[in-house]
Amino acid sequence: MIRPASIYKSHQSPGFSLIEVLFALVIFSTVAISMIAILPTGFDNVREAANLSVVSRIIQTVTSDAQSSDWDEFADRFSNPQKQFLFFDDQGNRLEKTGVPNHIYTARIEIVPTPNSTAPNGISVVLPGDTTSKVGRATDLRKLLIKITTIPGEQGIKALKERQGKARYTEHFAIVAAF
Amino acid sequence: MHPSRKQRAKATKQGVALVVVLALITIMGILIVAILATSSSELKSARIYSDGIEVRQMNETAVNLAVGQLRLGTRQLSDLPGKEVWASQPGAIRVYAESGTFERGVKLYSDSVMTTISEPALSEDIPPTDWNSDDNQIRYTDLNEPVIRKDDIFFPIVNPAAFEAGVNGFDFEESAVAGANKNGSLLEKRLPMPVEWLYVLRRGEMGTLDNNGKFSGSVEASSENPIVGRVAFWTDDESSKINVNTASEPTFWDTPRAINKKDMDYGKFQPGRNEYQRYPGHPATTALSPVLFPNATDELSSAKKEEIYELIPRVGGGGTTGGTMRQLPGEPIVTDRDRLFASIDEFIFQPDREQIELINPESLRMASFFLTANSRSPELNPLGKPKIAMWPLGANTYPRTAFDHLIAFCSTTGDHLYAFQRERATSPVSDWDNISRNQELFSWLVRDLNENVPGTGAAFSGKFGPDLEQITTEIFDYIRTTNLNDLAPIQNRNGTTSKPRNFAGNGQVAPIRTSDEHMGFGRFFTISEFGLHFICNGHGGQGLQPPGGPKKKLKPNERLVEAGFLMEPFSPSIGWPRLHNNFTVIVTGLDSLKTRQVVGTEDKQEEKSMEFPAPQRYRPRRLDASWHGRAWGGSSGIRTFVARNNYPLVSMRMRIKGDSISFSGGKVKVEIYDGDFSGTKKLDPKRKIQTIELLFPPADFPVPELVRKGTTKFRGTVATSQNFWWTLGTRYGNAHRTPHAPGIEYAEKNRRWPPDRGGQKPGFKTGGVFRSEDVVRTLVPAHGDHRLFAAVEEVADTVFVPNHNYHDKTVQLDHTFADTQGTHLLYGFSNEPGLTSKKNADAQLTPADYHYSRLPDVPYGAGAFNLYGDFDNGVAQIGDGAFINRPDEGNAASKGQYSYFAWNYSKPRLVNFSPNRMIPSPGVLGSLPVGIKRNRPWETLLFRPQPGHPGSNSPSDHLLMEYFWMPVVEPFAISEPFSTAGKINMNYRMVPFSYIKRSTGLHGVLKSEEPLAIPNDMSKVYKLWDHETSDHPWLPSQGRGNLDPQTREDWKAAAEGKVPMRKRINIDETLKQFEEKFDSNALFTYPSEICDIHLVRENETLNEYKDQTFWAGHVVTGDNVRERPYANIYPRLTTRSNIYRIHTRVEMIRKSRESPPDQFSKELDSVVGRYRGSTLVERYIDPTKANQPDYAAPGESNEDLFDSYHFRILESKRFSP
Repeated sequence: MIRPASIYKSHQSPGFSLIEVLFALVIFSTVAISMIAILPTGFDNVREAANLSVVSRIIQTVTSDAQSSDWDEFADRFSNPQKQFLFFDDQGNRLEKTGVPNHIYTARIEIVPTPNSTAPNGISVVLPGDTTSKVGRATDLRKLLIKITTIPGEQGIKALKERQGKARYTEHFAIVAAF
Repeated sequence: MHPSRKQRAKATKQGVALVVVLALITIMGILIVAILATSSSELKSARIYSDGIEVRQMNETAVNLAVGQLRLGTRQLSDLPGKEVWASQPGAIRVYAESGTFERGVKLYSDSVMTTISEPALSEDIPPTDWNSDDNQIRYTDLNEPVIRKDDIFFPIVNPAAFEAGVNGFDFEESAVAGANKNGSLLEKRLPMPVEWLYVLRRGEMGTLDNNGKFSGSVEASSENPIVGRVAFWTDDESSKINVNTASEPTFWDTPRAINKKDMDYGKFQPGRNEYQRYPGHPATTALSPVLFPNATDELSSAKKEEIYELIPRVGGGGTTGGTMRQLPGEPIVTDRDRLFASIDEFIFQPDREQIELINPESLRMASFFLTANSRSPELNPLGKPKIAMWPLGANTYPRTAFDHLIAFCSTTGDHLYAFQRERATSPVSDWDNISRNQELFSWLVRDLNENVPGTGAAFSGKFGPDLEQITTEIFDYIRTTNLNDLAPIQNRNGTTSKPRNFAGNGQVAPIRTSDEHMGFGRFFTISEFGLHFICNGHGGQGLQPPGGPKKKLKPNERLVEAGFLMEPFSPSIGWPRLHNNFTVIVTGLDSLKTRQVVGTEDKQEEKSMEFPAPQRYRPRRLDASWHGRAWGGSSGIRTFVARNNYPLVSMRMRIKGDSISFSGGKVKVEIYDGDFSGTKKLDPKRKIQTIELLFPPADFPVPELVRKGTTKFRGTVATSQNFWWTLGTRYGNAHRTPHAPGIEYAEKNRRWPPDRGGQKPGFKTGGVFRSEDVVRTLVPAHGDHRLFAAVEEVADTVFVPNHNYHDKTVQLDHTFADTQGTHLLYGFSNEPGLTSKKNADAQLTPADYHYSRLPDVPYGAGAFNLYGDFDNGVAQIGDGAFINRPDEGNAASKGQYSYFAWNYSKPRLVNFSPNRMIPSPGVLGSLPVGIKRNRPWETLLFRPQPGHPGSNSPSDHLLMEYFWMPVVEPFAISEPFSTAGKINMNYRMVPFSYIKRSTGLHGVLKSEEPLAIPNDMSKVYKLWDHETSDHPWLPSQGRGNLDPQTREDWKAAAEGKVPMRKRINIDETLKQFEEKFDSNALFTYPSEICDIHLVRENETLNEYKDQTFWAGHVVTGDNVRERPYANIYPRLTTRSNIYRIHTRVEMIRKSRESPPDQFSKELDSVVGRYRGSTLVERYIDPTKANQPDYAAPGESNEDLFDSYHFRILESKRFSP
């Protein structure tokens, strides 16, 4: 009588023992979990790198816009809290409006007034030595505070509006002159 | 026992799972490591990118700070009264209030006090000598710190080796700053330029470190807002450098004014078309040699100049090759069409990328502190409004040339033109009545001149009073009368060209009238002297009886006397093209003149009319249509006026008894009309130019003697018998012939001419009009300044007064009728013989010893009125007088090979034509009189230094130049609306680096000029030419001219260049005045202030000029000659720059946790990003911007362009050699 080969073989290979499997599983899960645990760091790096690049690009965009805009129009626009927001996609490209799926970054541009001025049309930058006389006031310089959040969409706008902790956005400055 | 096969198989399969798991884990590990590695390197590169952006951002902060300061310095402050004026210098801008007080100093470099209200504090701001000490190292940084690469050294701003190389005007004090090294080896030389670091906090606040090294700013640094970076900058003024796109190398040229070798060569070798390097005042006359040939102290050789022309775009060599040969009409200079240099770095290459020989990389690096490819300066008037162009444009349908179109472009903003227009030369009212824009511009100008000139606290209206509108009218008319024979083709609107059109083909322009009270000069004739000429027609004692039988017979003590009424036309606009008169005079009132005469047959005398004709019109023929007649204006004598024309203004013959004529005097009126109104032609009141009222006072005149001798032939004229001289009809009818030639009638031998080639002797000749037997009495303006009434419509009878000897019966001839060609052609010129300055310093215009043939045409005693030397030297051989410095439109006549000097005239060809050759700047207006309404003779606009001259009272006359400009339109649009390229800033003193001197730009400007000063001992010869000298060379063998050996000797010395009348400027001596000004903590606020600077020449000292001894030794040098160098220099200077180079040094700082947030620790904190470089910024106005107001419109008078400036970045360069 001839037995089917498969039955014969299966009988000959009984597989891993439970202990073996358990042992392997323990090792695997221990190592894998610890490895997976460090993955977010890598992903954070990637995200941070991306953010750094995009944020730099956004700052450049904003400052060059500020530089090339009409001085007074620019001041009028960004002194209105409703119009201080600019939207960007994941590449740092400017978006016309929010509410679109690729809205990732949001920047809020504020023209910083000094305590004794009525910015935006007043004094924004205090230069060294400008303590005694009005003649040295840098009326043609403007300090912009650029806050950029990586929280996408409306949440990002909300975070900037509520001026939540710095963890929700980064803060940068730019000094622009009236060109 | 060996394990069975089964056992072996089982054994090998045990642990496989583990192996697999391990393998998986390994793979996973590798992947994760790879991911981590990739992400971290990505993060790293992102950080580098971000740091790079941040450091650039920080650099932009520095640039923006500088731009903010530039804006602050150049804007008007609304809370100050009036308008401020600013001036720039390398490193700062100073602002002065309208009153002239220092308002603020805006520093263009990083400093702990960025703006100061103390001018000395700004001037004296200098880095500490020990700027690089341990403590100071964190406060200061050297912007000029070099980078050494192998054996080469690179400086970001200035290579100190330029000093050793000899760049003109460059020097620095080694002791002023630690680390400076002037004479070390190439790698050791240093020139530190330390400025303070501005430390920047995270939120953008800025401050500097105090003496304790702590941050000091508007807020305190904290751990939340720590120091994140620092910036340092210093701003250079590009207009302190020589522009390689506009400058080249000059060969000086000027309109010839006196006999000397250089002026004679100017006539011979005039600049040709496109030879911009010889156009007076053209930017191409600014020299590059102070940088390119630093050791050359003399004028460059032609070959070296050609090297420069080869290098510079749009400037060509050849032509007159440095003024040494005549440019042929068929060989104009062909300029290259190279594009302009975009930056100085391109200077090393030709457009075809071939490296040039003159410059190598090392010399270019050394030159970069002294040369620029971009420098522009604003062209706004002191009130911030457009300047008015010095070039007339065709109005309405009057065609324009390509030059006109370009100048119109430069003078237009929005749709509004800021240039005077013209269309009709023959009317005194048309260009006013029919061109409303002229009226608008004129009224606007008058309004502006009523405003205080910013920085002076005074207005021209206060200074000139009733003369303000008159001066404005004169200026308007001066511009309108420029370029009468345009040589450039008309450029039609459809792009085609057509033949040039003359505005005034005959060279005559009716003076413009801007109101009933104000008239310009145009180019017209007035009458400068009126006279009565008495001759004897019959003499009872000498047996010359008139026809008519016994009834008419004269008794022995009776004479028949005939009188002529003489007028001498005069035009203050001397020069070319030829002035071919076309005017008519109407004389009224002569018939009222009376003398005491014998009446009837009885021996009865009574006052009787001289019986001149009743109102009489007379239109003279062309005033040059006679022997020795000239058509260049000036004094035209009476010969041609009366000649060949049946002169009607002659009295009847009077029977006079005794030895005197008892003259009753009377009033006479002379009206002058433009055009031909002779006969009974209908008068056009609109073409009436002037009415002159005369009052002849009563007097006893000597009675004329009878001429008893005829005259001999002489130089082509015929002999006459005595009776030729017995009637005025024959005398006047032949007055166009050879005039009087000085002969034995003069006691002084040297006064006499030699016989002509035929051996005929000189003396009274056919065309001489006067004989010594005659009696002449004239009315003259006592002061002799004919300009004072030439621009007056109604001349009162107080202007003309009796001449010096009017009442002296012992003097027969008392006149100052002077032919255009000289005062010797009419016998008896008042000042000769015997009445020269030798006897009375005030007799003549100046105390000089003039030659008898070139006496200024002024009455005796005029010198007393000439307080300031405000007379003009004529062109070449033309004598001096009351002229208005008409622009030189050229003269291509070449008799004797010397144009301008020759008696004749040839219209120049296009090869000699250019608006920029004709008008260098508003400096040419300096001979316009300022006292017509206030009756102040010999006082003209003062565009030169002269303490005590009313023109130097505030506001100085020269500031008037600031309201006008001459756009430079060749070889390319060097001028644009509101700006001109290539001007050099007079304020070369640097802050805070006052230990560095860079006057190189001024060396470039001043190198081009060769001012003329005529020494007193040359006063006899400086105008001798023509038949006095038989043209050049003075050859006695030709039998002509003066026999005085000393005169001839002196003349030859001048003509051969042995007496240098023109000298180059002693630049170092001249610049002492600049240094004095800077040392007194002041700056030049307007470029016209160059007119306050003495231009000391080679081998002369500044003291000679300051104590006035120099000009006392050169009294015959006219106002126009003294002002000409300023007219040429002024348009190439500025005090305000539009382009600045901001040198920056920036570092990003990462604070260590261990160092305090408000301090910087060299040891603990780290610098994570560095940037050094420079940025070129330009302030500009967009002329095409819509809705530009019309600044000339009455309602817009308060508008200005001060706040219309924008900034743009022209170049941004990182210093990374």
